[in-house]
Formats: sequence, C-alpha cells, structure tokens
Amino acid sequence: MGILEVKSVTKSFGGLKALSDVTFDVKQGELLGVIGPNGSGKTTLFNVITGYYRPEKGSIWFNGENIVGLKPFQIAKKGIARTFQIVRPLSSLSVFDNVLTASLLRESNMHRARERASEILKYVGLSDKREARPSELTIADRRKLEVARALAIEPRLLLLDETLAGLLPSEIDLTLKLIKSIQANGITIIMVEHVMRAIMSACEKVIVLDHGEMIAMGTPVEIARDKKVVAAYLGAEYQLA
Amino acid sequence: MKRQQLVLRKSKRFNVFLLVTVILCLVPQLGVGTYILRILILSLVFLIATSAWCLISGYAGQINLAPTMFFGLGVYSSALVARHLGLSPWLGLLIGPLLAASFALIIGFPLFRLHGAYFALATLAVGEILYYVMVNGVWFSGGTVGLQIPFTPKVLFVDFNDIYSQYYFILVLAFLSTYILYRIAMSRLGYYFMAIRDDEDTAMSMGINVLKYKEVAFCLSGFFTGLAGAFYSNFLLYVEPSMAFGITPALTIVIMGILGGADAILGAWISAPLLTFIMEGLRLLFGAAGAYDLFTLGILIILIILVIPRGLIRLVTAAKI
Amino acid sequence: MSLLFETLIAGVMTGGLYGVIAVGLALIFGVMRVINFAHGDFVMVAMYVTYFLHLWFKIDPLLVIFVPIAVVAAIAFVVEGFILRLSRARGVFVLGGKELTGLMILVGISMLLENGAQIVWSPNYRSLVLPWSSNVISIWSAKIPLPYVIAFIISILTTILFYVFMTKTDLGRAIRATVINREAASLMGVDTDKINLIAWLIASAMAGVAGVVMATLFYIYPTVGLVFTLKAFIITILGGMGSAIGAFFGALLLGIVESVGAVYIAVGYKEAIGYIIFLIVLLLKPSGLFGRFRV
Repeated sequence: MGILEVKSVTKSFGGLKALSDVTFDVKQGELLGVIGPNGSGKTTLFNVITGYYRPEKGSIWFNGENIVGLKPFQIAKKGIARTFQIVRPLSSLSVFDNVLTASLLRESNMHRARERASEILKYVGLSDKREARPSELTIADRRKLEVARALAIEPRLLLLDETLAGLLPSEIDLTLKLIKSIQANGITIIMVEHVMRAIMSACEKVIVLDHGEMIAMGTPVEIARDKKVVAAYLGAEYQLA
Repeated sequence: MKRQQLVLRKSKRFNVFLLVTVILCLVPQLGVGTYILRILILSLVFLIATSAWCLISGYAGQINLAPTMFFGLGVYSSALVARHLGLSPWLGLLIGPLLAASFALIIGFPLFRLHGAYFALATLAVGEILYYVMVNGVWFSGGTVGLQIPFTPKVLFVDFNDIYSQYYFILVLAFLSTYILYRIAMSRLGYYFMAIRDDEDTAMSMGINVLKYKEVAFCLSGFFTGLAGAFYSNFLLYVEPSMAFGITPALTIVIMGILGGADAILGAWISAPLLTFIMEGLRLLFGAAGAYDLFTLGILIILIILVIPRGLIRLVTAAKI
Repeated sequence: MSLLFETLIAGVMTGGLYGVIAVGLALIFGVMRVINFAHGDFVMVAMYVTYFLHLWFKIDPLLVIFVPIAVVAAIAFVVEGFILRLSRARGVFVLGGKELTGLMILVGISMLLENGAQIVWSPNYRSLVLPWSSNVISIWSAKIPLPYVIAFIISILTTILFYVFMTKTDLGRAIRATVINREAASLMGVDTDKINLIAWLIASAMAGVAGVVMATLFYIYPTVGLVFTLKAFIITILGGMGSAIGAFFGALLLGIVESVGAVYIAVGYKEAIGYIIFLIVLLLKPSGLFGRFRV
C-alpha cells in the first residue's frame, strides 16, 4: 500500500486520449521518475493528480483516500505539492513573499510563518535573493523558488515537473542534491524529467509514458534496456546493443 | 538598493497616517468654514469607498467597475429605513453595510465565474441593473425624483445638529475603516488576495481556496462601501438613483482608487480629497450644469494612466500600503 | 398576433444593427484583447455627425454615409495610433495588466466623448426626421416602418461585406491569424501594429455605419453611447467572443428579447432586460467563455 496509488486513470481532451489506463503506485519515501517523449502525457498526469483536470475513468488514492474530484487547493491541503513546468511565481511579490504566502497555509501566525519562509529559503539557497522579484532571477533560481514554494506547504508528496530543464550541468548537480535532501527528509517525490542522467542516478523506480499509455515500469536499468522504451524515443528501427 | 530606501518602516508608515488624521481633526479649529468642511466630508465618504475598492480590485485583482452596487445599497438603506419602517435613518449605517456585504456574497457566485476584463464589465452590468431597478421601482424608491430623508439630529449620545459633529463622525469612521482594511491587507488575507491576483492556479497549488477568498474580499469591500453610502445619504438628507447607483460615483471611486494607487489601501487618503477638491473647483469654474467636470475627469484618467499608472502613493513609497 | 409579429420583426431589425456594433467590438477584442469601452460613443458621434449634416445641408444621410464614418475612423486612429500605442510603449500598467489598462484609458476616452458631446451639443434629445421616416412597408400582415427595414438591409450588407473581407482577402486572413495567435502571426511576417490600427479602423467604420442608421431610428443624445457599448458586450458574450456569426445571432436574440420585453413587460425595464439575460447566461454557461485552466 503506497502513499499514492494511481489506478486506471484515463483523461481525454475531445477525441485525444492524453492518459490511457495509467496504473502505478509510489511507496512512501520513494523517488519515482516519469519519462516519455514530448506529448506523452506527463504534465497531464500531474494535472490530474493535483486536481486541475478530472479523469473520466480511474481513481487516485493518496494515503488511502480517493482524491479524484477534489479541487487543487484541497489536494494541496492534503499534502501534495507541485511545481509547474513553466514556472509560475507570484510576479508582483518578492521571493520571500512568494514563499511566505505558501507557508501561511500551515502556519497562520504571521511571525512564525515568516520564520518558516526564511528557513526554507535558506534550505534551497535563495536567502540572499529574498527581496528580489521573480523576474529578476535566473532560471535556476526561479526553479528553486518553485521548489521552495512547494516545500512551504509541508507536503508529504512532491511533484516536480521538469525542474532540471535548461540548466547547466553544475546547476543540475546542485538541484539533484537538493532533491535527494528533500527525499531524505521523508518526502516522497515524483519527478518528470528529460534529463536522463538525473533519472538514472537518482530514481529508484521509473515509469515511461508514450501517447498517454504507460509502456514500462521498473528500475532505471530495466527501463534503459526495455525495447519498447527505446522504440518510443527513437523509433522502432533503433535498438540499444 | 533603491527599493529599500523607499520602503518606510512599518511603524513610520503608521505614524505618518496618524499624523494626517490628527491634522484633519484639527482642521475645523482653523476656522475653514462650513463650505470647505462639506467638501472634506464628501471626500472622506469617498475615501472609505475607495479604500474598500482597493481591497477587491487592487489587492485581489478583481476589478469592480461598479462599486456603486454597494454604495447605492448603503445610500438607499438609510432612506428606506426611514420611509418604510419609520425608524431612524441612522440605522442605515448598520443595515447598509450588512445589506451590501450580503449582496456581494450572493452576486459574487455568478460574477466570479468570469475573469479579467469580462468580470469588470459584468460588474458594470450589475450596477446598471440596480440603477434601473431603483429608477423604475418608484413606489419603493421614489424613482428619479428621489426620496427625502427626515432629519434626525440625535443618535444615541451624538448630536448631529451641526456640521462639525458630522465631520468628526465621518473622520472617525474613515480612520477606523481604513485602519481595519489596512490591517486586513497586511495580514494573511492580504497575501492570499495578492496571490489570487497574480496567478490563480499557483494560488490554488498553495492551498488557497480562490473562490472563498474572492468572496471574502468582495464582502469586505461591500461592507465598507455600503457604510460610506449610508453616511452619504444621512449627510445629504436626500437620495436619488444616479447619486447612488450612477456611473458618475462609480467611475469617481474607481479613478480615485487608481489615482491613489490601486493596491494601496491608504492611497485613498491622498487621492480622495485631492480629486474631490479638483471636481469641486471645476464645478465652481464651469458651473454645475455642464459636463465639464466629467470631461476633465476623463482627461485626468487618461493622463494618470499614461503618466502614473501605479498611483500617486508610488511616488512616495514602494512599500505595501 | 400581428402585434407579436411586428414586435419580433422590429426586434430582429434592431438586432441586426446591434450586431454590426458588436462585431466591431469583438474584432478589437480579438486582435488586441482590449475592450473598447468607447465603442458605443463612436456610434454616438456618427449619429451626431449625421444629424448635423442633415440639419445644415439637407442631404439624405444615406448618401453621405462615408462622412460620419470618416470622422469616427479619424477618432479611432488617434486613440489607437497615439494614445493606446503610447501606453503600451511606456510599459507600465495599471494593476491588472495591459487589458485593464487599455480598458481604463478607453473609459477615459468614453468620458471625453460623452461629456464633450454634452458640452458642445447640449444634453437635449434630438431626432432626425426624414421625408421617408414615417413610410411604412407591409410584410405579410405586419406594418414595419421603412427606416427599420433600411436599417436591417444595411446591417446585413455590412455584415456580409465584413465576412467577405475577413475570409477572402489577404488582409482579412492576416487579421484572423492575429486573433488566433498573435505571436505566431507576428513570426509569420504579419505586421501586428498595422493590424491593430486596421482592426480599429474597421471596427470604428462599422460603428459609424451603425451610427448613421441609428440616427434615423432613435433619439440622439450624448449618453446613448454607453447603452450601445454594454449591449454590444452582452451580445459578444452571448454569441461567443470569437465568432462573428455568433455575435450576429446573439444580436438578433437580444433585439427580439428587448422588443418583446418592452411591449409585453414594461418599457422602463427594457434596458435592464438585456443585463439580466446577460447575468443569467453567465450562470448557465460555465466554461467556454472563461475556459480557465492551462498549465
């Protein structure tokens, strides 16, 4: 019985099946990777889990409770946080205020919420930028802000949507360290990624989506050898030796 | 660095605010005369409505183009209480805000399905509907002829026989109202409102029930705007549809809000008196009959948006206020 | 029965005119995401120009229809070409972003036009009486005043012209591309600044046409503009913001509802009916208009 169980989730838009009978589960404390070619439904999966979209079929169990049909803010309260693929900070607020607003969910006392926000900023490494506006940050820092905001609501499950995209190798390493540290704190993580070395090195388990279907699930090594996975990414003609 | 210099420390901000209020308290002692006092009273009425507007439109980002929907309910509450229930019109000061807040709650449900400019125009439609209801429901509201309010000088311990008492009364109301609105804006509610303004989806991912907090902002805005309206009619002792629900008071409040700074609750302390005096000056210059005052208002709003769209308060401080 | 029929016909015919106004509003919104709060005032200006042309020169308005159109288009040119463009160039906006900033500027423009008209021409109601104003045409059993019929014919013609322009000409296609995806259109070589201006000119020209015709039908007074603007907005919401056909049918619907309401309910509430319908539609038509979520 994992912390999250996705059962036969199907989501269509018009005639297009964005997710088709997707089933998997995540154990408490695990770091699950989600990979797949562009358009395979990875972000849709996140949107469905966090309540922005409602699936036509299937159920999603979080801590033994079916969360399908709940609104995004209710799911956030239950303990699932997410980042957005294209970062969406609160643009008129400072970095600090962004995190503060999030921490006000769990801590209604303003003073303690402010302390909490400071701690989180220190944890992700944005303390020196606390008064800056999100528009003034580098891409890497904006990603950190997304993570900080997500952490501020004290989630049990964290969904990271392509947090490493477009980062320099050094930045990727730093971010991976952060992610591992978050996992070490007991938070279960699901990350959607294209950066393969991150998936391979960090994740215990990986699922692969293609055209809305889950075509493989297993350890990173198993996935890399899976013929279906290679075919999905490169086309049926190519095979790894 | 520059931004930090402009940010007045919180205690300093409040002290400036207190100072302004104290000065205003002393104004009658300066022997300014009833005419000026009258204008000040009017500006204080609009000040309250403007601050309330800033909460929903500037902080929560839901632009209400017809704050008159609340103002008018307050205005008519006093008149109708006196006319149909035979009670003191000052009860309107209690009923008006509550009525307006309730209306906000109810009308919020359909309205908040819309976003951005759609919402703004829908509020206009609501304002227009209320206007027509008042114009047509003659048996009820007196139609365009309007209603007189019987003069009730004594309310509890306060004697409203003279303009000085009324001035102090509205001054206290203005101070309390804007203080409360300010504290709300600085609290958790304020942050939630701003989150909703900036990005609703992100706000939801932070656990914010967007609809609930929009309603909260709307009801608070309605409450205080209704309060302003209730006092207004008690002061003028007369009500009719266009002063309550018309496009003129509606746009006046909106322009005062933008002029002071849409996201600055206390900005109204600058813009409301300023604009009221300007409008009065124009009326003196061109005569009340013409449309010169509104014409100038139109020019003003274009200029404001081109030159200082963030409002006058931003010339003074970049802080949250 | 005949009364109902006449009412319906009158409604359809005024609806056609509302449609012409609404399509212009929808065009500006589609291209620039700005709601032209002064759109109805453009109509008002055209009405006044028509009135004075007739008063001074005794020419039938339909013969010099291009004059009011030119006047209104000139105003639109100044508004978009200078004022709005300046605001965008400044880069600083009223809280709420570009759309609301544009909207508030247009509120200012609207106040200028309405009150300017009131100052110059007085708030008195005027009406245009033409030799053919009281002629009546019989359609089946109903007697319809000629001005209504002419109004309808003109609005149909204008709408057809608009439709042909948008679908068959290169410029029209460029405009539609800009409405669908501004960035993509720009990347494909469309000069979006020019398109902005053209959209404004077309929309104002249509408002001008509507104004000329309105002058033959309704009272002319400075604040009539706001009424048209709100009606046009209601229609675009009813019909769906992107669709010109939708706007046209939405307009007919509004015209009919108003007409029927005025005759069978109460004249005073005629305007309010539109707004009430509008709010009811909002309640019942959940997504589609505001289709919210995109990540």
